[in-house]
Amino acid sequence: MLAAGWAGLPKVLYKQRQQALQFSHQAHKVKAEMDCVSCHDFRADASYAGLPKLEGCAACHPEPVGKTAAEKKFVESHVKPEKEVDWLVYAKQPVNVRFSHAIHVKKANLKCERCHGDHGSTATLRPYEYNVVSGYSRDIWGPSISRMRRAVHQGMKMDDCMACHKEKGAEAGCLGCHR
Amino acid sequence: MIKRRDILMLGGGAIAALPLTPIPYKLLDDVSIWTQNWPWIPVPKTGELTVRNSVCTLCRGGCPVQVRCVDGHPIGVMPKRAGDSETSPVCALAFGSHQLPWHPARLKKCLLDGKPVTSDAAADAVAEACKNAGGGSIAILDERPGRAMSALYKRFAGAVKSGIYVTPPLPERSTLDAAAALCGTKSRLGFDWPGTSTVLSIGAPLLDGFPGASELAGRRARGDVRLYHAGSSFSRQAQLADRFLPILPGSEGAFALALASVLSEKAPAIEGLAELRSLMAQMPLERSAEATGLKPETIRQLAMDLAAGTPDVVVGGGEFASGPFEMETETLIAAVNVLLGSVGAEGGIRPYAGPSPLAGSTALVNVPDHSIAVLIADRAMAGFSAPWNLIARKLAKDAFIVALSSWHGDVALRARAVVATPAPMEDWTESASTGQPGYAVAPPVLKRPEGTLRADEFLALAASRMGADLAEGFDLETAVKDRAGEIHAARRGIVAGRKVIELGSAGDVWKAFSEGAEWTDTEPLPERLKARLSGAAAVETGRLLAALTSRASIQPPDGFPLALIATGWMGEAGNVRPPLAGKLDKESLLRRPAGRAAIHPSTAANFGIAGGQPVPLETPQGQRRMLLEVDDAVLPGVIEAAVEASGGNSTRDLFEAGTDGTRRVAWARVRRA
Repeated sequence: MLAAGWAGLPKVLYKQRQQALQFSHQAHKVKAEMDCVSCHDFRADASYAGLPKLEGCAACHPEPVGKTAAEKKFVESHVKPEKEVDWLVYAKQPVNVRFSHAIHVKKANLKCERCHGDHGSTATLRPYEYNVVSGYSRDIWGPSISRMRRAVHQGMKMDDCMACHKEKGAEAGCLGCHR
Repeated sequence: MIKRRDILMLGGGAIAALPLTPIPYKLLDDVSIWTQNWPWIPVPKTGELTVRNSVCTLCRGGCPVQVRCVDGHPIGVMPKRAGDSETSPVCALAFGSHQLPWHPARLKKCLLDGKPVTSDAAADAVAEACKNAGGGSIAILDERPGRAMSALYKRFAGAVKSGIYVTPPLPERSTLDAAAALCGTKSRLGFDWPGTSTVLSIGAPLLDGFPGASELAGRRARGDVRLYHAGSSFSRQAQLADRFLPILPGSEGAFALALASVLSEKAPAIEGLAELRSLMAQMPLERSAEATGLKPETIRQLAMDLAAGTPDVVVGGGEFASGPFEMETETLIAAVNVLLGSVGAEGGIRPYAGPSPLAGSTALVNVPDHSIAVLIADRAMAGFSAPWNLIARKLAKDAFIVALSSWHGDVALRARAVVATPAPMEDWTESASTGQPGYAVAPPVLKRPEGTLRADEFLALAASRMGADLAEGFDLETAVKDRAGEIHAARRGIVAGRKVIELGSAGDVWKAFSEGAEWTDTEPLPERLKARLSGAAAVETGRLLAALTSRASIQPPDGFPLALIATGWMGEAGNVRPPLAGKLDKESLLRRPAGRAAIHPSTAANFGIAGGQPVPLETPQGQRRMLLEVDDAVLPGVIEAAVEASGGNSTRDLFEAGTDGTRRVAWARVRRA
């Protein structure tokens, strides 16, 4: 029972979906010398623009600039037919949560890695895992089923937000995050 | 071979081990989340997040706001940023204002005698009533004067036979009007909030719905202005003030006189000072202080602090629910401003260009009693709505009442015809400051429901049925464009952070308005106001003394030992509140909800009644059932009653409104139910 609980539960509880396309943050970071906000940018009014739109990608990739199959597929399947990529968002929060990247990045000076770990340096996109009961991304709970001995960026539950806010002495109130 | 014992041991072991696994805890967490996300629970739209500038038009405060939209749909309202890091706060009502179009009391069809009808049928009925008005007048009551819509109301009143455009008493203008009378100026006076460093409010809810509240609250939050408050209730204003001076109900005039007594000791020669000093001789500081319940030293210290804290200003007007004060009290408050040197000075009361928001209107108090045959009332979002008993005495027998309202509350509850108007965010709505000249337009964000129509559209419909000629351009959009043209032609003030003089055309001003910008006249006139005290008229001095002495010796009538104070927030149509504001009122007691009364523990002990029980609250005007609370923030001998709008069977009707439209101290009693 113990083995089933600890080892089997995660396998039963989480299902995997592959991203529509592979993407290398590492290649963009190292070869193209881009940083996070090069694509995940902020608008003029400081609000976060969300996932990059296709037009941003197409500006550099009207044609393949490398030799990978993923890039070729991206150009053929998305750039040329002008079809947005349906990315699965690992850090997607529930609809009742309003998270301001602008406040956390620009005002609190948090690094992207504080919440997203080394995602910005990965060479491939890992499968998206979601909870079959709640429907939430596994990144919300974190990779460890026990939520013990986690790295600081592992887990995006309200408890994690509150712990950080408490640590930083940042008051938000209910309506600071919930709508 | 597996024995029954093995199965039982396996089952028992599994049960024993279960709590040592994450299964129960994790599943509990997941299932609780699942129950929050059932498919029939509506979810906010997803899409591009945009922010639109706007203004809150739910009361006359006119606070600048920003509407957060997802995919063009409003999901939240927040204060508008005044600069890179400056934010002026807004109230809970404004925060939840995007929820109001979905309020259960929302009207989406016109009503006639309580039944849904088409707008044509409603217009026919109103036109018929106007034709049958006989010798009575057709009054259009505008409780938010100064808007472009107000100009249309005036045109309608001018076009129909026996039409009059009526405005209610405006508490926020009462000190200004008194100051204008003292100075003998015809200019429109306003408070110079950006320049002041100390404000004394006498009963006035400056941070809570008063025009300019948002700016003043923002300046106070940044430590740029000190705020003193004198009043008989520990109101939101009192709680937020730097210093609160509790004074006895009805003693505001005596309080102002006591301040004037101290300030006049070192006052320079001012016209009328001799008359004021003679008044003070009849009612010296000790006596007037006694009437307020404060020690003379406390008032002397406050006066000295005010004198040292210039530029400063003293503001009267009273609470939403219990103001405005009598003119005598306001005259004394204006006199304190004169003695402080605040009239005509930076940070005080200054003259501005342009007509008064009340120009061309008939004051409600001046309308002959029982003379209104048809009343068309625009007061749903009045903020400080006029008491119903003041309106009712102006109505002829069987008067036909028409309510222009988005919600079925307030006057709509007693109207024969109700015109369902678009809610804020569904159409153009305006805010015109009745203090310092200011104007803003809240552009539509949502599509308005079919069956609703704007007040101007309804009036045009009714006028066509009556054969009245409203001339070309009788619509709000044209009127707002005209207003933009007037502002551009005057070449004064600031729109969207830019000087009007820098804008090339009236079209630029209109464009700024359509994007939610507000205009404020930041340029007082160079006119020198002649600071004087109550003139040389002995009549006025005598009137002041008579008013004061009556306040000083105020005695409760037999059987009504408690001074009744009305508290409440008159925003919106009666009890129409967004869920957020309702929750904060009822659960967090941000404000005492309507229907509740509170007394001091010592008062409760004297009457032998306990809190938490419903009690009948009686005044000579009538009786209402209230839920009683015991609260040591209430003054002894006082009962505070939270009131709602006065269109229905309201607690506010327990108060007597004077013939001049001002409130009088009411006396009440409670007893065990």
